[in-house]
Formats: sequence, C-alpha cells, structure tokens
Amino acid sequence: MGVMRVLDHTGDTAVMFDARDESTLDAARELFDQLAAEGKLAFARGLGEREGVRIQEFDPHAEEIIWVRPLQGG
Amino acid sequence: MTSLGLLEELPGRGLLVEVVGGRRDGELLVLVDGGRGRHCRQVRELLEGCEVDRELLDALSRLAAGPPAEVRRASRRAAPEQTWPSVFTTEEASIARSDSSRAVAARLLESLLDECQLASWRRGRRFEVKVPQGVVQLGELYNLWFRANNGTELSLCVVPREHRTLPVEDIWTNLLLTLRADPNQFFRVANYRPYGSSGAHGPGPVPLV
Repeated sequence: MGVMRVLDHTGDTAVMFDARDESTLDAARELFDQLAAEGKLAFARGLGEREGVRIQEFDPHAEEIIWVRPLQGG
Repeated sequence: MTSLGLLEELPGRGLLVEVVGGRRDGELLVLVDGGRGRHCRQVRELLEGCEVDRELLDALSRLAAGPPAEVRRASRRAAPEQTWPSVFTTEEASIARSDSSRAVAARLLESLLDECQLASWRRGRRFEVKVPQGVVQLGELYNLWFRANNGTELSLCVVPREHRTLPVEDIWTNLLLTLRADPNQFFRVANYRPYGSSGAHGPGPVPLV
C-alpha cells in the first residue's frame, strides 16, 4: 500500500494506492499526471527514510510520494 | 477600528488582504477582479467603516482598472460599481493557519528531518540545510539566512507558489525537499539582500562565487 501526500491548506491530503489493485492505481496515476501538469513536484521515499527522491513518473511501488509546489522569489 | 492591509498582489488573481481588528480579525481575503453586483456589494460592505491604507487603495485601483484590454473596455461601458473587485475566498488561507492543519504539516516535516535538524527544529523552530553552495537556514519566512562557501551571508526570500494557503510547516517541507533535490533552482529564483540589512530583497538569481 502506498500513499500520495499533496501539500495543501489542511497540511496534506493523502491518497492511498495499492500496487495489487488496478482501480486505485488508475486513480493515483490520473492524479499524478494532473499534479505534474500543474507544475507541482513529486518526491518518493521509502518508509522511515528521511530523504525524498525527485520522480517524474508515477511509481506504483513507491511507499510514499510527496507533492510540493514550485518555488518563486518572495 | 477595523483595518484592511494589503499582504500581496497575486498576479492574475487579485489582492490578498488581511482584516485587522473587529469580529473578522485575522481573516484573509482575496479580492478578485469581479464585476457582478452581488460581489460589488460584498466589497462595499467590507470596506465600509474600515481603515484602508494608501497602498491597498492604489492596488484596488489597479485591480479595478484591470490589465487586459477587454476588461478595460468593459469597465468603461459599465456602471461605476461594476468596476469594483469582488471577495473570492478566505477559507483555505484561514484553515492553513489552524492548529490541526499545522499539526498535520509538522508531522510530515519532522519525518523528513535528520536528528540534528530535528533537535534544532524542536529547540528553536529552525534548522539548517547543507547544500553544495553553502548552508541555508529554514525557519524565518521571507528572511532565510544563507552562508555561502566563501563566507558571504545573505538573506534569501523564496517561497512555494501560493504559499499563504499552506501551513508554515508545509512551507518548510516544500523548501527542504526542493532545496535538497535542486539547489540550483532554489538559488535561481530566490530574491536576496545582504544579511542584516533592512532594504528590499533584490531579484534572483543569487550571486554565487
């Protein structure tokens, strides 16, 4: 079971997916593509890992994917 | 006395303002270029009895004028009240500052910090990130301390897009992940000034020797 966390006003919104359940994967892929099209950036990490690795494509075996926003000068 | 303060002009989206005082104290509002009577009344009611500073008045005038030619033409033909901006939403920005949202965001942030960073975060709500260009301290919004490898100290101002709709702990998560993964991009977009100076930040990229 994996989880995508999208940073938002609530802290984050978590979307679960299961590599063995095609319907959850389809929904997760669709969300991944939508967020990527919005210019957001995805980082994957395994359970207990502190570092995230930037990913460009949905990984159904990722344990956690964190979505952040692009940066701008303040 | 209630007053309205301009926090930020959001290009293409409107004006982010904060209500100070009164029963709506602390509420964040986005005023957008509207033109419908109902929204016009909302803004009039909002401004009635409020102290509005010159900066916000100027920004409201610019917003009402509207940059696209189509909007300007429509405004000239329309009745005066139709050129007022409208109130869009306050909800996301308010929720982002709630304790529950900040607790969720803090959990995620802490899970990304190493032991040293975590101790520093818990002690003083700030932590350092080492990158090839030097050391960046995250913890003070709009005034990030940066010490370059040559010893130069700068104040950096860099934020995630629409950062006011995120709990502050999410802002640090956002900056931490992007800084670790692509520090060059971080320094490309960051505005900067000498650390400790009170002047405005200059536009990036940050000069790195």
